[in-house]
Amino acid sequence: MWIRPSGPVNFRARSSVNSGCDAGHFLVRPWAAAVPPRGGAALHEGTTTTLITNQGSVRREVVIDAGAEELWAIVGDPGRVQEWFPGIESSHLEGTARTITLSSGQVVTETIVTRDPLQRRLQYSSDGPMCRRHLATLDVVPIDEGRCLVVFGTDAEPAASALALGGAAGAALENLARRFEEAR
Amino acid sequence: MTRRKVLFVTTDQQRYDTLGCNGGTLARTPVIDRLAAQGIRYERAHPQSVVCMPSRATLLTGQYPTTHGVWMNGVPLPLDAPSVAEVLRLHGYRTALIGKAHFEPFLDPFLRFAENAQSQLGTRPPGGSHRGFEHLELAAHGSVGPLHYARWLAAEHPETVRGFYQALDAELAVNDRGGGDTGAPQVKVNPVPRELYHTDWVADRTIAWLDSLQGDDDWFCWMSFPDPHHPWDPPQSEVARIDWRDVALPSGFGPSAAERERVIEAKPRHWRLWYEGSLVSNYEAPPRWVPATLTADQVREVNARNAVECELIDEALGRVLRRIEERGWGEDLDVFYTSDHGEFQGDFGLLFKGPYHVDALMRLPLVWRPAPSSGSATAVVKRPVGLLDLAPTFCAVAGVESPEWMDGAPLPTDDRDAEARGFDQVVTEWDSELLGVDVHLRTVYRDGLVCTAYGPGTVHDGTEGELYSTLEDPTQSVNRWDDRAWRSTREHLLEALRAHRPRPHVPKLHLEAPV
Repeated sequence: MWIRPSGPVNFRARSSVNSGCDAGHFLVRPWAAAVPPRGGAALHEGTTTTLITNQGSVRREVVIDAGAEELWAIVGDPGRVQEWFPGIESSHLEGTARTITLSSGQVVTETIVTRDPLQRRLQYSSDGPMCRRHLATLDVVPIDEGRCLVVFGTDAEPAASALALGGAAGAALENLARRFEEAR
Repeated sequence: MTRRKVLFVTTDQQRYDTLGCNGGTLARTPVIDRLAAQGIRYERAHPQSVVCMPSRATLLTGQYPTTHGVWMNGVPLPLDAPSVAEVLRLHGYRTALIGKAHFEPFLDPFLRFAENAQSQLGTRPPGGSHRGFEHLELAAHGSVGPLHYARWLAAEHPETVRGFYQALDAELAVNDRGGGDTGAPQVKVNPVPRELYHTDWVADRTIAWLDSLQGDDDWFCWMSFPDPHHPWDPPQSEVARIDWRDVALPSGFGPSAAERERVIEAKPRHWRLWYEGSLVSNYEAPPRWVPATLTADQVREVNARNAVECELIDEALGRVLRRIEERGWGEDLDVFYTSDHGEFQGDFGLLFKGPYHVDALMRLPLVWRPAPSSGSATAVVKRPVGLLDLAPTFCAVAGVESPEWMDGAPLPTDDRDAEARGFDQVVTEWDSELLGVDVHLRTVYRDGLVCTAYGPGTVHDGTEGELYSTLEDPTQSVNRWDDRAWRSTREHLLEALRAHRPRPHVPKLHLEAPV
């Protein structure tokens, strides 16, 4: 009301949202699943005391000028992750078990949950780094003949780890886009 | 010709009123008080953000958060962002950053950020510099992690590591575990010997770097103490300096819980929601801690420990200044002392920080002791300045023209200078989007008034606001936003906020970690 007559105060930073969580779901004490709700916690209209887990979910995406098969050849190959994911030095694939070595020297064992070349979806799970539970979901979605949307979903527990893992996933997508751009 | 050297001293989360020269009575800070008496003390220095990463990016770039793009903690400053250190380096200055950097997130599972990877490489960044610093020795608030201090402590004094408070809990959230005598959150008895604590380490490493320089080198050193930011776990040998039982409660704590709740109720609703434990909108406070449970004794103990940490900083700075004198640089040395943001320390029954633009978090210590050789006069500046004015001031001291990308202007040397150059107001920004909860504030301080406008967010509809007279209401307890008698004042200040349109960073940068 106060700003409408003469134009808005500049809140530009709100122009886009880059982490994909449902606001209602996380409205109350987003990391506090272990604490039982106190009596009468919903003191204000519109506040809910949803019983929540301490899981965080982050989505990042990028549009890349490349064909779906071309992208899937690298994104869908679990043995090539070190080629485009910053901070992963090497990987070793044996069946559905993938072992990655990080820049820190830490070794993390992951399980390839889904590798579906028809949907072009890759999923892997792990209990690290820096988390208890992590499910990564990569989708290559064709937009038209020479352009795709690549979506990287990160579901992890605790919630704070999803932000860090999702941030790394986003950086990996940007790296992937740069790689294809430079190749053209 | 010898140019002026710059020692830029920052602390983390230190309030204006923690220094003796600003009226503080708890911590003894004779070194900083002396610098203030010899130089310029600013009574209204505000940050452009009240959390670390955006505020530190402002210190480095001289830009608003909207412009440098670090709109909340966890958003890394781009590696190619402008840097005053790089400007000085290119003009022949030797440059170092020793202590807390935090231009890049701490939580870094893949160790992909340069600051976190630097300690594996030593102190010299690949390519010769990082953000303009040719020497980096980094520390954070504790004894674990990939930075130089933690690695040194683990390698040389492993028996001390577990004595520090664990800043994050198993959920990677800010820990709420209580300790000390009162069970206050983020308080712990830390048996670490004083000389191994990070405050003294920062001073030791600064002295070591200064000792590596030639006598005729020009230099810029950012000495960045992680304290008095929580956790409040200073060396136990020093805690007895101040008996918390003797500490007076801050006036902002109020006489009773009922009074605190009455004050908070008149503020936008996220204040009350946080106080009662229903909503934690930002990462920087323990999500499991309910502020309403904070006791008077806990406030006393936190403030006593905070003051001890301020004293240790003052003494560490004194050691560094003595070494500089011994090297013969004293006459040509400019010293700047400030902090990136403040801390509630019991005001309104709160601790820590967040989207709450009041003096507890916004009014900062700022002292500039110009080089004695410059012949500058002493002064107390009452008109408002911002942390974004520091970078251009460093350029001015070095005799370098401020680049056009800096939003700030060289600090005024007295109020007459401030008036002549239009230091009328200072703006602070807040934007956060954390796991589905977003909050947006824009605040202007002008004419002794502080006015905050809220943007639409998870618990705000964009019509809320705060308006205080800092002269009549020093703790900002009476919100005049809806007071009809203050309507024209409010509109005048909102007009100033509408005119605040810094160049936006394009594209908007991504949140890449919680902190």
